[in-house]
Amino acid sequence: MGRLMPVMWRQPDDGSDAPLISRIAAFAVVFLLVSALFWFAFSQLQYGWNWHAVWQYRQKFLQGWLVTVLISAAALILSLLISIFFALARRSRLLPLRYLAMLYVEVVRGTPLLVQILVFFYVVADAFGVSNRYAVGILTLALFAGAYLSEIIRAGIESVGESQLESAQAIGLTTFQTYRFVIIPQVVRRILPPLAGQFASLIKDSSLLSIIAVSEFTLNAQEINSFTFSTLESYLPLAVGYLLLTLPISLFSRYLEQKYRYAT
Amino acid sequence: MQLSLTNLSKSYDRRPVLDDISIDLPDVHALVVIGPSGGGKTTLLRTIAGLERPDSGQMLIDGELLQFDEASLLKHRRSIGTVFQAFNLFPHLTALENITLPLEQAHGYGHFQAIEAAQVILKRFKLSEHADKKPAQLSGGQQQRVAIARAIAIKPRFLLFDEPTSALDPEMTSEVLDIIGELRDEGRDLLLVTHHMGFARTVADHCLFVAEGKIVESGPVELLFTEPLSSELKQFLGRVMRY
Repeated sequence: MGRLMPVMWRQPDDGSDAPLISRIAAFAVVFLLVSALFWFAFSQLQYGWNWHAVWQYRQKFLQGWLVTVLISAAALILSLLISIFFALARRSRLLPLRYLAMLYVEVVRGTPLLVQILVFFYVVADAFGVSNRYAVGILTLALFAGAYLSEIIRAGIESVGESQLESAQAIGLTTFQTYRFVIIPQVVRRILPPLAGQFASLIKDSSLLSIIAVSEFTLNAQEINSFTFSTLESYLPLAVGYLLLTLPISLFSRYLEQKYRYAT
Repeated sequence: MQLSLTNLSKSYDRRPVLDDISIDLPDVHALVVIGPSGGGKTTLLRTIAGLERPDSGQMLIDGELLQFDEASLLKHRRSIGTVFQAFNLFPHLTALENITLPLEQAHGYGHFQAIEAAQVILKRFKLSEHADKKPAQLSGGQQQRVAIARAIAIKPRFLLFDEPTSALDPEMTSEVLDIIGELRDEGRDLLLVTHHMGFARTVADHCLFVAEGKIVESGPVELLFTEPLSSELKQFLGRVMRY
């Protein structure tokens, strides 16, 4: 194999150091193969394309896309606060607080987001007299992502070794100073890459809010579909719209991973 | 320095690690603690460093009775320099920043004042060229020398070393022991837990043999090594001197 394709034959660990020509060639091959596969699949389709009908709703696409960006950003900030609280609660000396954190993480991670959204909107929010579906949607999404984030943060804190805490104590730092100068800087470096990845998931997960009629990207695409009866023309731009958000984040996450990679 | 411990006890899960330790050393400058692993020597050192609270007993250093509340312990820790076996340094900070962190945060130095002080010490330890490197880029011996530099930078009352070379290979061990010897020659007071009997012998003026949570023997280092009284110390020396 190596002799047949000397340009594209690399050991797994030095892929990024491969010459530019090899990387371009390898990417082109993969891209063409995948494109050909889909080209064939679409060519077999007996389908009357009608992009014109969908084009008239471009504003609606854009509005939905913006709502998705805003909801995701708000949920991200809220989920960060929630996850920091539960990550610390998980390490608390107060036993009930620790169990609350464990229960939260296990229940949220073990149940479908779809069910959580329905229960929160139609049962919990209703009982407390909250009817704003955007607020409930953001909160549910933040609680959902927070469970995953809190595990990332907890693992980050625990990866700072006992010997580090001891050194901090020995040089006379207070507990607060130890968090400020020793723990947090290291935790942030370590969790930024998975955090970015989690944010990409959050953006896609926000599509489920369409079931409680939050007018985000997916719901708008569904509505356009029902106005125009052009299913693929409605949903293909949807995929592209999500990819526009998640791809840069994913690349950024990989960049951070490279940047903060140092042995400890 | 003067060090006196009275009825010091400490146990973990009802297993005594320090068992009613009492000792009075009115004037000691280089105290070496030897003994078998798990015998309590590290706990003894950590208690003197203010990192452990004893269950009972008293500790008097230079005539001052140490209180074991958090505020007093913090003040105490800030007055001494402690170096552990390994992983003393913070991996996200450079050698220089490792030294300036306690100066700025625990000793009231201004930012530039701390940098200047750290640079002076790094130069003295011939580490200037490594000032901007992270610990992962330094050898084990260099890391320990930076850790010692950090301990000295704060102008401590005395230095504590907990087996500072046990994680190093022989060549690096000697570069670290040389520095400790130099510090001793400068007249700095130090307390050292070590397995290097030859080094203990040259550097120490007093030696404690700790086993099973007790100080089994205490005396001038030459005397302990040449005329051990207890059977435990005889056996211990027999084992560690064999090779």
